[in-house]
Parts: sequence; structure tokens; C-alpha cells
Amino acid sequence: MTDKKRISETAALRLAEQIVARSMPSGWSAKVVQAPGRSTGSRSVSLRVRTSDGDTSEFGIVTKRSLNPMEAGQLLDTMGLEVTTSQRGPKPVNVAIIAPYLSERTREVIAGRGVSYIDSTGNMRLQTDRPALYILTNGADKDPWPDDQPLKSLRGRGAGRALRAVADFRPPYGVRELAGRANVSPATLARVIDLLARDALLTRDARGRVNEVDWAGCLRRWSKDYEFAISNQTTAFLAPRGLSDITSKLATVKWRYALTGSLAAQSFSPIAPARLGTLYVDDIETAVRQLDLREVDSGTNVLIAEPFDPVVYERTTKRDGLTLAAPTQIAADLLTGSGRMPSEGEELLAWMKDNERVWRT
Amino acid sequence: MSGAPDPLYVRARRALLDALDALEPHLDAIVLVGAQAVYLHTADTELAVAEYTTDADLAVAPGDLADSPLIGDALTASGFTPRVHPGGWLSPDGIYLDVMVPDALAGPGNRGARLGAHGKRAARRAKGLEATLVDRERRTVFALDPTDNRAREIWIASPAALIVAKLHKIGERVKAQDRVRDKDALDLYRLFQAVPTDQLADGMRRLRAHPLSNDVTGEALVVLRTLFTRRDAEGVEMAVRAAGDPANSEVMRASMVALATDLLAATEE
Repeated sequence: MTDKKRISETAALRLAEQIVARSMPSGWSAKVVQAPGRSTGSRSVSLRVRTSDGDTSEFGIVTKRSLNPMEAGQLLDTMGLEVTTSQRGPKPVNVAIIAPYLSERTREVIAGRGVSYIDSTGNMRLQTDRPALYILTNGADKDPWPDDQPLKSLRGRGAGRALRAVADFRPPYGVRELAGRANVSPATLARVIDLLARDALLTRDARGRVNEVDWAGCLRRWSKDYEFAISNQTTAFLAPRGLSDITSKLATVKWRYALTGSLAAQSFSPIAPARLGTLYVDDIETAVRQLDLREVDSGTNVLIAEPFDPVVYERTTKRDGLTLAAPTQIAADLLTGSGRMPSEGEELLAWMKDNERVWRT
Repeated sequence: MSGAPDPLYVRARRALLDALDALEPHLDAIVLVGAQAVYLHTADTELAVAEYTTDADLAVAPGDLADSPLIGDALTASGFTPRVHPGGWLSPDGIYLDVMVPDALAGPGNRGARLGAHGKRAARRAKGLEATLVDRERRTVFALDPTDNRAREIWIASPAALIVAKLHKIGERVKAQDRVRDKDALDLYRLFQAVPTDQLADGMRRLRAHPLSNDVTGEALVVLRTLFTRRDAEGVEMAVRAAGDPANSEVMRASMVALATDLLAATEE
């Protein structure tokens, strides 16, 4: 990760001019010029290429601070540049897009319309028919300024993993320290911490170390983007001998699993006896066979989930011979569940508030 | 079941031990059947039902019974009082005791069993109990009251034999359009949940192999197929009603059908 800020559009334009000039055949030149007759708008400048014979060609320039593939497609649409499907590829258009960084996918989208591009890391495609010119060079394949876009959502496995780390571990901690302890990507963790800080769910000291975390608030915030039944791959089954049979079988299995939901929560907080057993497993087939689960149309009492991330198996607890997911995971799963589960999630949060010493790492 | 047992169940166990004390000279001829036997096999199932069947039900093997002491005298001397129908007794603190003889061994008649010297009012006849004399095991039954130190080793009907007996009871009542006691179907469900299918199937095979229980077992399995292998079948309805837990009824229906179907398949192998 770098602390450098993403460079500006002006800087990107200046760099593009230098990159193109260096790649020109000998005797050729390239220069950014003000396009005559155009007073405003992003195409008010152009890149003029002059051959050794004195022929010139001008590329209309569009400069962007950042451009993802979707935005690139939309931009080219508004410019009236269609996708061409001719055998010989798209006909070159004398337009070049300039940005600090363009991802591989973004470059594909742009090239697919016959448009040229230059990014500040050296990714360049410059093509024109008159004079005949085609240059293709490679620069960086990773965005050197990844932190530029603030994280807006906690959806996804990386964010979930990082969120669990923030909630499970007792501050104070720095990003790198926590990333190491919880085995999460430092970049993702930094972005998640930024998001939580913007939402006032944690505070940092002057050096950027996290010193206070509203873990319950973090879990509620996570449950806006995470959803047990959608984020995980779930299948419902019938355990015809009931949940007590499932728990006694689980006490002897050799494979990795973690109980969550009501059945796990009732080990921590006083709630009505669970009707539904929910567990994370790596291999549904094995679980079905060894727990004697049946596929039925209705009347299911067990939910098997293939987890969004192996973090569900981390910081588990052992109670009565059963492996329970971390309370933070159980709480998020219940808060985003159906029926009486959200209220059971609230019960669990209350227990967690009173017993922070017991569960927090 | 967890925690302290239900007080009513404590009383029922006490009445059972009182009856076993009174009938001690005959214990080799007596098998514990009915709900109390079911609970001894299913102590771990989670099905919570507020009220227990508290009756103490005993099956008698007439061939093993000595002529004295007389069953009636022994029970009366211990404070049990006879009820209107043969075999029906009431314990001193109000628990029902039923003394029964398998129909095939009960001699001629409709209600009372002919028990030689013991007369025809000491026990009643019941079809299906043949199985409980064939497939049975030794168990020690303890008092549930902490101040009561009694423990008795007795015969208790096996889960398979109890299923055969219960299915006859349920089948007869459904056929006669009698007012059915739904709880028999719930006891059946408990047994199916608690006991592995292989174990039940082994029991059924033993019962089919014995001349005394072959016929009643075959009939019972027909009842099982008719009343318990569809989610809307009458036996399944009875179990669901007895559980009184509408939120769980679909799971119960699906479970009962799955387990009954498993047993029928395993028995036919």
C-alpha cells in the first residue's frame, strides 16, 4: 500500500504527453494543444502527433481522475462510440482517454470501441489510420492508488473478514498489527476501518491507531450489507430425529463445522429452545450423510451453510462438546435472519455487552 | 428431559414401584409396557409435552405366573383399589395401574383375561402385547423421589415390541371410530425419534420369527403403513394434535413419515 495520493487530471495529462513523446518513432513528435474552436468541456484539448514528413493527426482528449469499466462504457456511449464487431476489429477513432490508472478491464472496454488510451503508469494504446500508427505498451496491472475510492459497503468476504476482526479484538491496535493478528488484508482492513470511522463507530488516536470500537454498532452496520441467507450458500434439510440428535452427532464428527443461529445462541443467552439448527460446513455432502439429513419440500429444521469466508471458523468456542461460531458471527447471522431470529440476535448482543471479558479476544 | 422431573411423573414412578413391590413373587411373569416403558427408552428426546401419561401398564405372561399370591389380593393389600373394568386398578395416591394379558394367551372372553386361580377380573386382555413378551430386556427402574431409595430390576418391553403394541391400540381405535387418545401416537413418535432404525428393524425381525408375535407384528406394520407414511395420514394427525405445537407441526409430519418409511423399508430388506 502506498500513502501517495492519486495524481490529478492535469498531472495525468502532462505525464501522458511525455509517455507518448518518448514512444514516437524517430523524427515524430507529440504535443498537447488547445483544440481550436472549443471553449469548454472535457474535449477542449487534443493530442497532436506529427510525423517526420510533417503529416499531423489530432486525438480528441478526455481526461478522467479515475474510470472503472462501467464508467468507461457509459462515457463512450455518451460520446456516440459504438462497439464494432467487424472482423478486423473496431475502426480507429481519433479519441484518447487519459487517466492516472486504467485497469485491464477498463482498457479492454476502451479498445473495444477503437479508442486510444494513455495512463500515467505507462499503459498505452495509440492508433490512427492517417498517418498509420499503432503503439501498444504495458504499465502497471494494479492501481497504485487503491485507497482513493472510499469504501461504501461492507458486502463481500474481505469486508466481512475485516469487520469480524475489528469487532472481535479488543483495541487499541494499529491496522498492520490487527491485520497480522486476524490474518486479514491490511488494505481491506484500512478501508473498513475508514468506513467505520466515517460512521462514527470507532475512534482513532492522532497516530491512526484504533482506540475505541462500538462493536455492537459495527455488527449492526455489517448486518445492513451482510445477510446470512444471501451472503452464504444455504440449503435446508430435515433432521427427522430432532436437533438433540444433531448435536450429539456433531460432538463426534471429525470434520470442520461451526454452529450458528438460535441453536448456538441458546448456549450463551437465555432464549426459547431452538427450532432450527444452523451450521457452517465445508462439505454439504458429508454433513448430510453423517448427520442423516433428508431433503424435503417443507418441514425443515436444519440449515446448512457453505460460508462466505472461512472466518466463520475463526475464534470459535467449544461448549458442551460443540463448536460454536464466534458470538459476533452468531449475532450477525441472527440479526439478518427471519422470524424471531432478529430478536434473538438482540438478546445475544445484550449478553455480549454483559460478558465482554468472556468472548472478546 | 433435563432438570427436576415433573412431580406427576415422580408420583407415577412411585405407584409403579408400589405395584412391583406388591407383585414381587410374580416379577418374572411381568413386563413393563405403556408410556412409562416408552419414557425409559426415550429419556433424551427433546419433545416437550406438558402432561405425561402417568398410567403404569404391566403385561403378564400367564404361563410364568404362580398360583399364589393372588394378584388381586396382593394389590389390594398394598392399597390399590379395583376399578370397574377387569385389570384396572387405582394406586393410593390416584395413579392408574393397568394389568393386561396378551389376547392370544388370555383364553376365551371379551374383556377379562382368564388367569386360572387369579380369576378373570385381575387382568384384562389386549391385542398386540404378545410382542412385549417376546422382545424384552432387563432394566433397573429407580424411584424419582430423592427420599425414596427403591430400585427394581424388571422386564421392560423393547422399543420394537412397544411400537407393535401401540400400533394395535391406535389401529383398533381408529377402526372403531372410538374417541382416540392422540397421545399413543405421540409416544410412537418419541420411540421412532429416540431409537435407531436398525435397532427397531432387528426387533421387528425377532418378532416376526416368533410364533406368538408373528401375526400381531405383521398387522402392526400394516397399520404403520396406513396411518403413518403420509403427512396427512390419521396417525400423523394424532401425533401432531397431541404435541400441541403448531409452529413445529410440519417438521413433525415430515419426521414421522421419514422414520416410519425408513423402518418399513428396513424391515422388508
